[in-house]
Amino acid sequence: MKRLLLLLSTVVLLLAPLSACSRSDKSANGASGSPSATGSGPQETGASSEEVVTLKYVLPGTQPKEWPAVQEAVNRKLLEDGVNVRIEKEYIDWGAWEQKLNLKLSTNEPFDMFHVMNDWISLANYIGRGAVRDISAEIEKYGENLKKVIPESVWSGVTKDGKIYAVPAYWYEPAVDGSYTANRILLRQAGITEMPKTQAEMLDAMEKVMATVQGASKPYLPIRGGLRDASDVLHREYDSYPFVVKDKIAFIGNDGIVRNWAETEEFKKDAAFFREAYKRKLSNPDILVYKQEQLEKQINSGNYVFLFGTPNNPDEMRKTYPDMKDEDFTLQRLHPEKPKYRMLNAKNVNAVAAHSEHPEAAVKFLNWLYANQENYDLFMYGIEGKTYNKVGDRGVEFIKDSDNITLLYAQDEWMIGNLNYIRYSPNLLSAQKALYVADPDAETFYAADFFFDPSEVKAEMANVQAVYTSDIMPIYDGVVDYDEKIDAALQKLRAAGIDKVIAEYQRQLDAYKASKGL
Amino acid sequence: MHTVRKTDLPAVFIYCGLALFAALCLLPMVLTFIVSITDESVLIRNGYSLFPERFSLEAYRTLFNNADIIGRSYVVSITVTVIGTLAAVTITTMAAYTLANPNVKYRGALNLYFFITMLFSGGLVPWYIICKQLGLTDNLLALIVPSLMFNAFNMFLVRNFMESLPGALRESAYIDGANDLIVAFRIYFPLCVPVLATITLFYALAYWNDWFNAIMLVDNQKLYPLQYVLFKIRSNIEMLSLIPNGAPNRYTPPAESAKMATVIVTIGPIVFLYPYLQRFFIQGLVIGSVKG
Repeated sequence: MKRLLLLLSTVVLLLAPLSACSRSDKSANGASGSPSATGSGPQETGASSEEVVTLKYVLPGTQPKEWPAVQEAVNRKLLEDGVNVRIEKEYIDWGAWEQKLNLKLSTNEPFDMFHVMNDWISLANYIGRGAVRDISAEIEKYGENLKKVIPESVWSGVTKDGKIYAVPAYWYEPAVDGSYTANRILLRQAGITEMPKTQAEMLDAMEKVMATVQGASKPYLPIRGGLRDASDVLHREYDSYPFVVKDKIAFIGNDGIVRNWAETEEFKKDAAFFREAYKRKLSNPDILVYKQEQLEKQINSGNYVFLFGTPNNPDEMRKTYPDMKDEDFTLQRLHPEKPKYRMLNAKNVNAVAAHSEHPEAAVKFLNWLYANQENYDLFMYGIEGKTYNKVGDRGVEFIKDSDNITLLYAQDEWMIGNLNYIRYSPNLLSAQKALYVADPDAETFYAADFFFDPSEVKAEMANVQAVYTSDIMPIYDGVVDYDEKIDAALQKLRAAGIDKVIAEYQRQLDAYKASKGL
Repeated sequence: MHTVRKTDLPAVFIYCGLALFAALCLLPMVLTFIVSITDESVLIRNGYSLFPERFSLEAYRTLFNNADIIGRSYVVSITVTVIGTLAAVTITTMAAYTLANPNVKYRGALNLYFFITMLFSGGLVPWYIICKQLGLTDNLLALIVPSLMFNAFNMFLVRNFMESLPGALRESAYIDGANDLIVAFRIYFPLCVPVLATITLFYALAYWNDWFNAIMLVDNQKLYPLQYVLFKIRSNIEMLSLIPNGAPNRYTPPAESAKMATVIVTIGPIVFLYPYLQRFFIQGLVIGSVKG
């Protein structure tokens, strides 16, 4: 009897926490609606007859110091304009972004809109989990301005089976991606006036410049973010262009076939380029252990011959080159005769959470944001004179905190900006302004809107990416010899499950093509 | 003389070895400190060095320009550590006292119940839901209570120590008319000081170094503990690799020396806990070594 009682009490004790869980789960569901409803309470009196709803926008980053003041101004303007939406931002620290967002989604915490970085965790993944809502009807009804400021080609990136799942941030022209920046100051010093049009010319030009450079800090070829960004620029050289490398591992050819990137001929050629650069001491000898910050510092200072992509802040570059002129840094492409392609559309989008009570509020808000420059300025840059100053037509100067580093307020454009309204530093170089000009000649690559959803092959994907970092990266970056190491590396990739990942890629790409009628 | 020399030689080696080891342990700390007072331009040019060309206190100046942030998080960290540690130690010891008492019914089952929490955890989602439902968001309690929810390992540590005390102590106290509260607080706990010092250190360190609770449960910047301020610097730097190329970069990472200065500042008072608690450890080692 005593034993039985003992056993029983143990079971009861064991079950107690479980039941606590389920109880709180239920109450969480039950309570989910109330906060937004109560949040709108005090505002009702000041608004028109329609109820004011609170839109909670969850995004990564750190809350800027002046957001409370800006928030007040934005909400006042929203009310004045009769939008009947109050915006509330919740910043989640970068270090916890993925984890905390998932928690919020899975516990049905009350929020409405959240940011999606397609190249990190794709929208397709959220759609697959049922975490985002179809907002086609709302966009049709309230999103008049959205359709105006975001081109059709970008919308296709957030459309699946005819349903729109998010609003893309169209803050730059993706066709710029295949270009590189040439530092003509250093090139001139070495007597080079003709910009390279082939990979070989590029290497030769760098070698000539290196020979003329004095001092310890050499203008090595900066390779930002490893494999991801190097590719676009070099790929214009190959006959198989256009093609795209996604997630750093999958080669998607123009023929619609997905291949293991490391196994392709194009990979071999890229690796040969970097090997050559490494051997001729044109890329940093410490490339594999070089820290992101050091790289950022080099790029900021403008101390490079060529940079894949656009240059950074010209103010920093002026510290290195006090007499720098606009035409000293220009945007170039290899094989300029080939067409320009948009390889990646809608990289950053804002989606509405599936459990949001007011999906229309998100659309109404975005529609208001993109209605005119005034609204855009208010939300993106804050209060004029307090957090920023306008400079000329499209210029902006931010006001900094007492530490002279942190901005008092700024909303990152790449999350929610739009190139029709974007403001930039007044002394921005033409090479950078190119980002914010729509390119009518550019073509859109057929798979530009395709984002892989790795949830089916999660384990394999993680293993494959680990092998890529440890074994493929050194080959690609030219630190070790391709012929010597590639077989062993490919072997490891196969063991990690690359074939399964690529097969899943192919399946999803086929489905994507079918859905687009390609 | 001869005998002294003979015994000295190994001792010299041991001392040298230990000194070397201690120096190696100190080295990263010293380097961190030196970097924090190194001139930033020297740092960029030469990298880390124990003997920099030029010193500068600029990093500390910048840091204390923002004294309100650091100061506030200092207050938060200290409050959380003090209150949290006191509460956690009290709860742990009281539970241990109960479970160490052979007269408690279903002691085995209760022990098992606590033991299971060491083997399995409910996972993040239930933890998060429960914390939210308890109202542990955006307040100081959110930084204290989740870690208070008991570390069974510490509890067993104390329980085992208490079980090693003679049961006759309790019996005689009962006979003199003491109840359990008196037995626990007047007799058992004073005898357990060495083990209490140990778990105090564990809890205090855990509270001082905790940033996870802050990340998950606190959005209000006024409630950020020190370690979270540090964590933020790191995660913001990692962010730089995630934002798209060409995006106007609105975040400038702090200078290398500023980061190290922040590390030095956050070490703060917690290092003083070690020497203070150390004497109890030694006492703990000696206790029970000689049977009287």
